[in-house]
Amino acid sequence: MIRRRLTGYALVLPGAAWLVVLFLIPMYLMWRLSLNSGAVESGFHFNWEWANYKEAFTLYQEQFFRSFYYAGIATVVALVIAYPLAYGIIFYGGRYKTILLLLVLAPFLTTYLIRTLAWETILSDQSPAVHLLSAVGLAPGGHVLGTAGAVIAGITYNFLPFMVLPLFASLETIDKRYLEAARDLYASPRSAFWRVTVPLSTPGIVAGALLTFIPAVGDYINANFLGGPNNRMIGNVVQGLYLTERNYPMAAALSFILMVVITVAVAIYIRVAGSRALMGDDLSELG
Amino acid sequence: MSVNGETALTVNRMPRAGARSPAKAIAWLRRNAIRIYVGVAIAYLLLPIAVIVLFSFNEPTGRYNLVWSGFSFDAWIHAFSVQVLTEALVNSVKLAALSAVVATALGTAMAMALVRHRFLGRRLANLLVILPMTSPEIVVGSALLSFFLIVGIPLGFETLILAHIMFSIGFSTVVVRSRLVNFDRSLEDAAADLGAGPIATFRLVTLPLIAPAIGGSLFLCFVLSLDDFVVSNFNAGTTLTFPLYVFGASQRGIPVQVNVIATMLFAGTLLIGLVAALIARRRGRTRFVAEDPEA
Amino acid sequence: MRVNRPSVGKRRQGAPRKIGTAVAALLVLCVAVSACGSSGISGGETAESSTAKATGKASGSLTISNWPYYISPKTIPGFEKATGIKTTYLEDYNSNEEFYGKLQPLLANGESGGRSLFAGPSPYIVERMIRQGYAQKLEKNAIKTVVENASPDITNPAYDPGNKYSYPWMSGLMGIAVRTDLAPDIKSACDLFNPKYKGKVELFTEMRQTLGVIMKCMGVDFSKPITEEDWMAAVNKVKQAKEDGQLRKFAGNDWTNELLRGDVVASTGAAGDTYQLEQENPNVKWVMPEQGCIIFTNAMTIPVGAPNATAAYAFMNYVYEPKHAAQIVEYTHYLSPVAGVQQVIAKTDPELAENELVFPSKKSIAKCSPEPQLSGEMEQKVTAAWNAVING
Repeated sequence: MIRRRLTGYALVLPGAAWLVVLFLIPMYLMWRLSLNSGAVESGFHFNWEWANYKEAFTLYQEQFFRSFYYAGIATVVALVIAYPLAYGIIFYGGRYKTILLLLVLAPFLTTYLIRTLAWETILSDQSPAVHLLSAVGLAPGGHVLGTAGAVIAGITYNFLPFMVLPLFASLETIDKRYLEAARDLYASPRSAFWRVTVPLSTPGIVAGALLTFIPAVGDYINANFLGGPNNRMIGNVVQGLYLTERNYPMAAALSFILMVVITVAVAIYIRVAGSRALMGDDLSELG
Repeated sequence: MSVNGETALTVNRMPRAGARSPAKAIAWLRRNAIRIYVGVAIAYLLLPIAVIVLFSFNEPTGRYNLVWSGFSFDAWIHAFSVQVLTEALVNSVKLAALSAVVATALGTAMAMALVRHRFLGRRLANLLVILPMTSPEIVVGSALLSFFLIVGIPLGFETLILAHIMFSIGFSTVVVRSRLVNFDRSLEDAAADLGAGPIATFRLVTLPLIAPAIGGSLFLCFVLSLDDFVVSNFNAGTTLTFPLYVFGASQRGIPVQVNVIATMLFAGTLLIGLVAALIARRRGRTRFVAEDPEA
Repeated sequence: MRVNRPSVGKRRQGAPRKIGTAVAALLVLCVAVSACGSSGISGGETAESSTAKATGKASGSLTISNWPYYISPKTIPGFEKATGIKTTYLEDYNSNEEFYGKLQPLLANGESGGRSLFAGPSPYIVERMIRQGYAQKLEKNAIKTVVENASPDITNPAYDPGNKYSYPWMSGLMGIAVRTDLAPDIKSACDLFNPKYKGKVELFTEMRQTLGVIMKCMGVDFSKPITEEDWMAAVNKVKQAKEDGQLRKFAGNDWTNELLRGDVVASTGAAGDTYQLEQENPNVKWVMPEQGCIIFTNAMTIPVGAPNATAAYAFMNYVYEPKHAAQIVEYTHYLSPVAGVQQVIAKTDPELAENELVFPSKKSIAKCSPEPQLSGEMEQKVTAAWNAVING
């Protein structure tokens, strides 16, 4: 028994050490850095400078709320697009199921940046797509690029697989006999769908929403290429502060706030969504 | 909506020549709505890819590959003629291969420990695996940069390897664990009963059985690393990877070769995915390798 | 999620204590790590600069950083052929601050990221590098061609008296780039703020150049010291335009994409760049703002930790040969700091030699001013306000 336990430690240790040194300690150091004062030329020093947090939040709360807003809409839109897609493939895909899923995931095997740049081309002002959107009144001002709509559309597209995969996985495991039973009990197809299929796929919906929302909040590629100066997200700000302005304490503070807010939001969400089987044994294990 | 697993997605019930009444057309549309939707959605998903592939055959008049100006195989013939781009690509592939192998080794070990062994701090280890995956990349990237700056490790290829392995471990652990959880332990017990030691049991029984998951993990980690921009942008210093090159080039005009290489990467990874799917199907499993709800 | 609330949910015997121990152990580890060093994070104190030593005949390899399309495609092959030095020419400048931000942590450790020469920094960055000890002194003996051929107009600049650390790479005129087919009536930088072009205008991220052009159109007198109020008025004008949705983007080198596609009809832009864009689309034209332009300079400097400074010197000498400088001018249409270039070009391309945008006469740039500089507290204040606009 002791030997088994030692084997357990031996197996877990290298990976855990890697994560402690390169994730936990960096997080801790970033938090410390966020309480530094000073400037890059004169040097930084640690002195519990909590004012950084206040200043960061006052200066950039707009980008902060915008990020959550954009990510929230994108998550909902992604769910609306992905659910019927996954449903259709699972229940109507027949022997083409695997091929269809592969087709759905294939676009995400190209480089993220290049995909986004392709959207920039598709949505540029003189393109047929934008003329079409203008004609039906979906492009006020005659352009799509440089608007919130473009950024949200980009995020939705780029994080769609994170929505499709969990939905696909949970729809696939639904026992078809439940649906047959519903029909035998004279449930209409519609009510069978809403009262059997959807509830049974809740874990997929919850997981998909999380996996889409979290990266979406921190994303800045879409805002960078598809948005304008009024669509910048918190990721753009953190990046600029770290890499260009080198205001490390302020940047660290923002990054840390983002981490905390997301963790709390996720915690509340999981509570409310109340899904036992959400992510396998991962979270229930954490008791 | 009827549940009919046998029906292929192909729209197979075209209205007959005689049935032209609008009511029948509407009925037909209703019946096939979901199929049509799947088709349209896939077209939407593939649209940017089509644009990327199309522009890999463009013949730009100047240095900007922005508008279509003629068909040419030029960039395909000289795919690797842009020196800095090729170097960045080589960096990326090296980085992805190395971090996939190391992360999968570490992740597999962790998955084994978490599924098979009860030990103090097991739940903490679980949390440690999940946290990096549920943190936005910008947070991971900036925390790592803070770490490297404060400790004084110069940014470059080495810091990229450290970072990429770090964010891949969790995905690897989750993929391998999902296989181990559904694993028939009696096979191992049988091997042990037949006198095989723990190492022999692992090599002869466990490893072959979790091989698909290890393959899936290698593939997933490779793709994650190859595609990573955010964490790399923070921690690369002056080293260029393929996505970093593309970002820089997007500001000054992207050479057509970028589209060519993107198309190659796309086709290559798709091929690997197809082969994996075929192998999985032959083994009686139709699930896609990376299809893990936690991934 | 019970992760964050260990006290809620099913309580397991002893678990909190174990977690507590683990967390404590971790904290000890963290403190140990953070105590062992706090290097790299800041520029540190002003340092004494070293001199880049020239040693014998130039050979080996050389890496240079510069702005994109700021050189002739013939220059590097020509240089490699003449000297046998294997040269990597990186076009990795997108903005002064971004490049400096990327390199600063390295420079603070006495490294240059493998680069032997920066050809892209603006004067204020050169000044900053000198102050921080990131720029090396030049050995005048090793750059005799440079000293000999440098045009007297550009030597001994205020940012580097006596050219101890730097010589100009090239200069340029910052004005407006216009799609004449889409916005024929833009004549001054203030026309960029015309509501008619809402969402169709771009500004360059370089603060001193962009605000300079805007202050000119706002009627600021550049012959007197520019006040903080002048700067802030220009920042606020940009801020207002941003909030009104007038601006499509704050752009680095990527300003060209939108202009070529027609997503943007006008932008602040340099004459040389715009000339090159005109080759792609003849509707793109550079406009000298009615109230005058800003003349900017980028300087060559050898960073601390530069490998093979001898090769960097050889390159400086090479591009200060009038015939090689002429090659660059022919391709880029920027202003050369090398004397005698006009005469070389007059022989092969008399029309270009007469071009007022490439060899401006005193009269044609009478209203133009050098890139305005800032210092001290005013610099911090204006920079912070500008950053809040473009990064917010």
